[in-house]
Order: sequence, then C-alpha cells, then structure tokens
Amino acid sequence: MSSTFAPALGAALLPEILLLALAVVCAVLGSIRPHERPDLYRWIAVMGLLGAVTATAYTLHATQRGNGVAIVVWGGGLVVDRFSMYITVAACAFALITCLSADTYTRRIPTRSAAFFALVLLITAAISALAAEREMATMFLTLEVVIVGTTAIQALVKTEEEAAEAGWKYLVEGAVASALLLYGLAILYGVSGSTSLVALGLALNHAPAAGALGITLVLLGLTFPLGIAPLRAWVGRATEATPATVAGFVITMGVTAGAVAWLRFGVSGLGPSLEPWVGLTAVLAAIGLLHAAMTAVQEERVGRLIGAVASGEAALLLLALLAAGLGATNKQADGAIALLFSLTVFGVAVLATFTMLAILQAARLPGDLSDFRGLGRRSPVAAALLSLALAGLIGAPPVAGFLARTLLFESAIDAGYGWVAAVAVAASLLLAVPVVRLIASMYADRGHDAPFTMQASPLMTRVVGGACAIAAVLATVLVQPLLLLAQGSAGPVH
Amino acid sequence: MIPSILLTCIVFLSAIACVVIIVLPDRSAEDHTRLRTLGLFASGIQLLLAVVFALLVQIGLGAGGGVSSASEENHSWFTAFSFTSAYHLTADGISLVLLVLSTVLFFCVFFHSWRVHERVKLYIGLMLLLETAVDGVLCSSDYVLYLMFWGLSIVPIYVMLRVWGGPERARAAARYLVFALTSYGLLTLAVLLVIVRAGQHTSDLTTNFQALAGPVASAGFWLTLTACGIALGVFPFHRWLIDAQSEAPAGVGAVLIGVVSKLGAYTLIRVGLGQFPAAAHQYQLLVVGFAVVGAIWGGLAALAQDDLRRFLGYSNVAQVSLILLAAGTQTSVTLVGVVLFILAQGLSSGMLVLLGGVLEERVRSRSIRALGGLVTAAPRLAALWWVAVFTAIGIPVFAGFSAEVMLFSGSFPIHRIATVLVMASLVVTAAGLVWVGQRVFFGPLRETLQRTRDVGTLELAYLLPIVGAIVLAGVRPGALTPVITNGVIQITTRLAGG
Repeated sequence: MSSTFAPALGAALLPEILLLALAVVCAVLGSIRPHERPDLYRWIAVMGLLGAVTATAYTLHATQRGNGVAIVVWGGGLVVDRFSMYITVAACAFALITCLSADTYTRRIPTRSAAFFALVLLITAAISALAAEREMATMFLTLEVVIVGTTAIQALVKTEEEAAEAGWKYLVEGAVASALLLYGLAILYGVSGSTSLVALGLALNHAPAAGALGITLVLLGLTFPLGIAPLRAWVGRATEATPATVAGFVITMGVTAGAVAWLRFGVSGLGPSLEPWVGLTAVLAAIGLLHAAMTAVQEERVGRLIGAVASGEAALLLLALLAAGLGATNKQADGAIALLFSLTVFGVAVLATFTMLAILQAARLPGDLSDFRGLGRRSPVAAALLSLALAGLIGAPPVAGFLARTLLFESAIDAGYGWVAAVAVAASLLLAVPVVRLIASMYADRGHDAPFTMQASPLMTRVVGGACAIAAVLATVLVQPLLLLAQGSAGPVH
Repeated sequence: MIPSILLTCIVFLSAIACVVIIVLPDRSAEDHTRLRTLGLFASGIQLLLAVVFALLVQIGLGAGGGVSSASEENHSWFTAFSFTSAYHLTADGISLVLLVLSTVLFFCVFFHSWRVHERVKLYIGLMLLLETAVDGVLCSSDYVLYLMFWGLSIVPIYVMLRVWGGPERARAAARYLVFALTSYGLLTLAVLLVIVRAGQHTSDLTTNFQALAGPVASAGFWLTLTACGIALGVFPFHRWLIDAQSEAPAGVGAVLIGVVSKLGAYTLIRVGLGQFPAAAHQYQLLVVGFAVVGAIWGGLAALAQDDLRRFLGYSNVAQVSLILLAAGTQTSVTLVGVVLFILAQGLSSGMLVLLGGVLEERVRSRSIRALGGLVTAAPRLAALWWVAVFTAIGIPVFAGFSAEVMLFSGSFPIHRIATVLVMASLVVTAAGLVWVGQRVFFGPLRETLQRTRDVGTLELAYLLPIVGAIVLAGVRPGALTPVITNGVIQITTRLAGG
C-alpha cells in the first residue's frame, strides 16, 4: 500500500467523514440530553453541511494538486472526481434546505430532533460516497444506507401510526429492491469475475444473456430509490403519511441517490453505448413517466399529486442517461450536463413545494384538493409561492424547470430516442394538467372563508420556502453559470 | 441597426407592472381604479413604443428594402450545452405588424377592464402577464425563448376562463387547457427536432437549417402545422376556440381571438414555412385542402348559430382558413397579404367580440333571434359593429380589403379551384355577418330593447383606437407592405430553394 494512501483517502472522504462525525455528535447529544432544544441539533447539522461543502472545496484543491482529474483510492473502487463533488455539494444543499425549513416538523418531535438531524447527515454522507463509488459491493452498501436511513426518518414519529406504517412498508419494498439489486449484482459478478463496475462492460460480451438478466435486475432495483414505476408506491405513501418536510427530503434524496447510482452503474460501468441497459433505461423511463402521469391525474390529495409529479420528474432524469454517448452529429452528447442541471433544479423545486406544503400543514389546512380552493383569497402570499413552486416542479415557463426539461428532451432526441422524447413531452403535459387545475382552483374557486395565516410556521421556514420558489425563477436567468458548473462536473462521467 | 432595449421594454414592461400590482391593495373601488390605471398605463407605453419607435422607424428605414429589422437585441443566454441559446429579440416586418396588433388590442382591453368588477387585481395581473407572453412570442428569435413565452401564455388564459367565464366555464377552460398543452407539446417536439437534427448546434430562429430534409423535415412540418392549426382554431381543431369564445368574458375573448390564436398563424409562417420549406412545398395541396374544408365548414356552421358569440367563433374558423390558403400558396404576394390579413382579422374579430360583450351587457341576451332594430336605440354601437363587419368581409377603405385582394390574387394563379372554393365560402361567411348585422340592428325595434343604452365614453375609448388602426391600415396599406415584404423575403427565398 502506498504511503500516500492515507492522505489520499482522507482527502477523498473528508466531506463524508465530517458529515458522519457530526451525525454521531447529534445522536450522542440527543441520547445524553433528550430535552435539549431542537435548534441546537439543527445548527450542528447546518455546520456539518457547510463544513462538508468546504471540505469538498479542499478535496477539489487536492485533486488539482494531484493528477488534476480525480483522487483514486482502493484500486479504483473509489474515484472522487468533479462529478462526485458536484453531487456532494448538491446533496448538502438539499439537506441544508431541509434543515433550515424543518422547524415546523421538529417542533412536534423535540425529543427526536437529534435523531432526525443525525439521519439527515447520514443520508447526505451516503449519497456523497455513492457518487464516488466504482465498485459493486460498496455501491450496494451506500445505497442500503440511504434506504435504511430514509426508512428510519419516515418512521421517526412512532406516535403517528400512518408514518410508522409508511416506514414499515417502505422497508419491505426497500428489501425487495435490495434483493433485486443484490441478485443482479451477484449475477454480474459471476459473469465478470470482479466487483469493479469499470470491468463490467467488457466482460459482458462473454455471457450476454446472463449479463442482460443481471442488468435488468439491477435497473429494476434502482427504480425504488428513484421513485419510478414499478417500485414507486412508497412515494405516494411518504407524501401522505409523513410530514411534508420529511417527504420532500426523502423524495429528493432518494431520487438523487437513484439517479447517481443509475449513472455510475450504466455510464461509468457498462459504458454509454451498451445496448441492453440503454434500451431498458428508455423503456423504464417511458413506463415511469406514463405511470406517474396517469397516477397524477387521478389523485385527490395534494401531497400524493405532488408525489406523482415528482415521480414523473425522476423518470425524466433518465432521458439524460440515454444521451451519455455520441449524439446525432457524432459529437459527444451532453446528457450528463442535462442530468446534473436538471437534478439540481428538480431538488430545489421539490423541496420548495414540500416546504410550502409544510407551511400549509402547520396552518391546519387539510390535504384534499378541494381544501385548496380559494387559497388565493385566504392567503395570497402562500398561494403565490405555492403556485411558483408547483410551476417549477412541472417545468412551466419561465421557471428553470422549463429549461431543464428542454435540455432533457433534447438529450433524448440527440441520442436517437425520439420516441421516448415524444412520450416524455406527452407525459409532462399530462402531469401539468392536474397541477394547473390546482393552481387555478386556488384562485378561481370559492373555498373556506376561515382565517388562514402563514404565521403558524417559523419565519425561517417561510423564508426558505419563498427563497427556493424564487430561486427557481432566477435560475432561468442565471442558467449559464449553472450549466458551466454542470459542464465542468460532467466530464469525468464518461 | 439601432442597439437598444426597445424590444425588451415592449415585452417586459407589462411583466414589471404585473409584479408591481402584486403589492398593491385590492379592497376599495379606488384600489381597483388604481390597478386598472396601472395596467392601462403600462399597456399604453408598450403601444407607444411599438407604434412610434418600432413601426415608424422600421417604415422609415425599411421602406427601401434596406433592413429586415431595425430593432434587434442579441445577448448570449447559455452556451455550455450541445446547442447554444441567446436572448435574441427582433421585430421584422412580420412580427412588427403583429406586435402593433397585439399592443393595440391589449391597450383596448385594459380600457375594457373598467367593466370588470370582481377580482380586479387578478384580472389585471393575468392580462399583463399574457401581454408579456404574446409580445415575447412575437419578438423572440430564439426557439427556447420562443417556447418559453408560448408556454407562459397558457396558464393566464386558463385561469381567466375559469374565474370570469360564463356558466360552462369549467368545461371551456378544461378544453382550452387540453388543446393548448397539446399544441405546445407538438411545437416543442418540432423545435427540438430542428435544433438536434439540423446539426447547427444553435436554437437561433433566424438560422437557415438547410440540413433538414426528408422524413425529419416532413415530421417537423406536420408537427408545426398541427400545433399551429390547434392554436389558430382551424377545422378540425376549432372546438376549443368556439367554447372559449362562448364562455370567455369579452376582454379575454377579444385577446384570445384577436391575438393569442393568431400566434398560430405567425408560427406557421415563421417556423412551418421558414424552417421546413421543402416539406411545406411538398404538402401544399394538403394544406390548401384543409383551407377549403375549413372555410366551407366554418361558413355553414356560422349560419346555423343563434348564439352571437358562437356565430363569431365559427365566422372566425371560416376566415382563418385564408391563412392556410396562403400557407399552401407560398408566394411573396400571399405571404405579405396574409400578414395584413392577420392584422385586419385580429382587429375586426377582437372588436366584434368586444362589441358582442357590450351588446350582451345591455340586452342580457346572446340570442340573435332576441335582437332587432337596435340602430335606433344604439346608433353608435351599430356604426361600430358595421365598421368591424366591413373590415372582416374586406370592404375597401378598411384594413381587410387590401389583404384579401393580395391573398386571392396571389393564390388564384396557383390553386385556381381551391381559391374559388374558399372565396365562395367566404362570401357565405360575409353574407352571414351582414345578415346577422341586419337582424340585430335593423327591422322593428323590439319593445324590450327600447331602453338599450348606446355605447358610452368608456366603450368609445377602447373601440375608437381599433377603428383608427383599421382605417389607417385600410387607407395606407402601402406604408406597411414594404416593411412586411422585407420580413417575408427570407422565407420566400427559402421557399424558392435559396
């Protein structure tokens, strides 16, 4: 083992180490002083997340001092490149938004807030590590940490039967997904004789049928964290049974983990031009989109509707993965750029929507679509911000989600998957219908006249919710810096 | 070329006013007046900028065929992707004329907003947002920007239909939403096809994507044609427009039929013909066929209507078939004619809808049978109605005349039978318009209508600018035709294989 191994490993895993350390601090403090104010844990978590971002900057610096491309440890099993660093920063940003807006939730569980923030940090660390994995066993382990962590965070409030039930069902479905993943990876290991993802592409030529079976099982397993059909039932349950803050976090982090694992497995592992996984990705994207759209138009509960739309958004991300190879003009397609940009925009939009929903839940607004009638009269600010957040989620112009969709559709057509793009456009518009109807109903219809106030939520939650919704509009204007960032980070994917 | 922010001001002034309106109160009558005045003020400045600074400068500079666009703004938007996109606004001969139509109609509709008494803040805000969207589509020279503004127009109209519509507003709004989203989706696919398959790595609308050919060009053309057909409300995609016209409040109906639906015509010329010239040439007979069927269907269906609003809707279906005829003919004369026609038809149909609203407000009925002899009780209303009808049917001195002359004279040598059939159908439509006018305004005055008020100062304030525009375009079409010709040169050159 080289003498530079330890410093390299330290530099590579510094953000994860920091996050885990502060997660442990939260957990220990929480068990020692269970009645401490939730604010303390929140600020510890915030410090941890900001520290992780700073550590990522240090890792970038270390990379530039090294080979300029990546820090490679464990014989190529862990590769910290700009892509993984981008994911680390994005995951930290999503977690930061959650921590700052979680007051409406943590107020209800003061004794368990330490566990909540510890789990937030743990999941963030796992996603950060996942982005750097090039090895099947560790990829599976980090994914499991995400799944178990999100299960625990959903079931945290055991006094609420629905949440505990949702957590339990999530665990069962997660076990099915884990089994699929594990069987698939085991088959692929059997075919390739190695747990390295990088060696997979070449090895599959020797046993195409077994390889195809392994790939199919892995991709089906990955639909679970991504929250798309066939394993998307948890999304609706999470939005319904858990507080909006938790639901937003679980969905955002799940999708991030799923998309990153899909990309690492498919693009970095199998190679962008290997037909079985690309074709299967296209089919799963189409099925996921159509299923989400059909579900959304039937939903009667706002939370479930937003969950279905988020599920559709997650399926849209797969369009970018189709375009990881050469494009229509034999030029490198920019699917990875589209993925990173869209993932960021998607995360902010989902968190903005669920934060606004949390504010409405705190004001005791029930969750039926009919309860939102006339919200524009009762609370114009809440209605306007929720509308803006929803517009971001469905990609309505002029919000940045519109640009993200345009780039994703373009990626699919560029990769020669025009039919998937056509399905995606149709499904996106179908997803927009119930959301536009909801927005219109907030303004057009007459609902309850009972007084309504956003003041039931802490100022921080309101500020974060509003800022996220407005950021989605500003991102349209500032798209170039974001794309440049994504472009710089997308290079090492191939 | 004049480097300026003129077009940005024209497009975004109403959006800024919309943001200002959000913080203004909406409780008392004074608050409502303040909101309406702000909307009118913003819209008035946009009109002034569009007419005085944009159109007159263009007429001055472009009369000799010198420049295609006197106003242009082009700033890079994003480059870090497989195609580049720019904040590129231009107003050439085609878009400039339609920009004037848009700003005139919106200005009049803001005057009309004094007739709106419920949810005034929301109404003015949505109308301002809609004006930004429409003007943005007309000025955009970048596909991504273009799609963004197009998409932005959908929600305001849907909400306005839902809030201020008639008894069947929910159905009309739902139908509008489905058709509008379908049209938007098809257009999105066409645009992406252009960007990706042409291999130019740009979304600039002015680029000549010559690499497009064969099935890709055909697919792009049909996607665009269908999207535009839906937006324009031509047969067989007209149901949404009829329902929306029937249920929308007069102000919303006027901008919907006068401007918003005309974005379909604009896109058909700009994208359908401009980007897919070979496919447009290949399928021109089919397009002309749609025009003939639409003209006949619209004309006959209009005659069967008793509801004034639905009658106007079906008349519109017949009239816009002329746009398809021009798209199928593809000569310079017909393209200049069709731009003039869109201007004239937009003004006349918008005015008729506003007048229909005035009539409905006074007599509390939309049934043509229930009306009669109103010329004695409301002579000014009758005069204004006939001005709009004369424009719609192409009587000399009014804007429609020169447009129809150019359209028919341009299309007859190429599609003789189709032109005759469309002309015959439009004669039926014209007869219908005259017949309805005769039934509503002439004959014995019904007893129940004897106390009908004539149009007042407010109505004159928003109808006379339209009349002014109609007469100006009617008596001086020569001032506009060189400007429009400059705008269509690029398209006709591409159609000719250049």
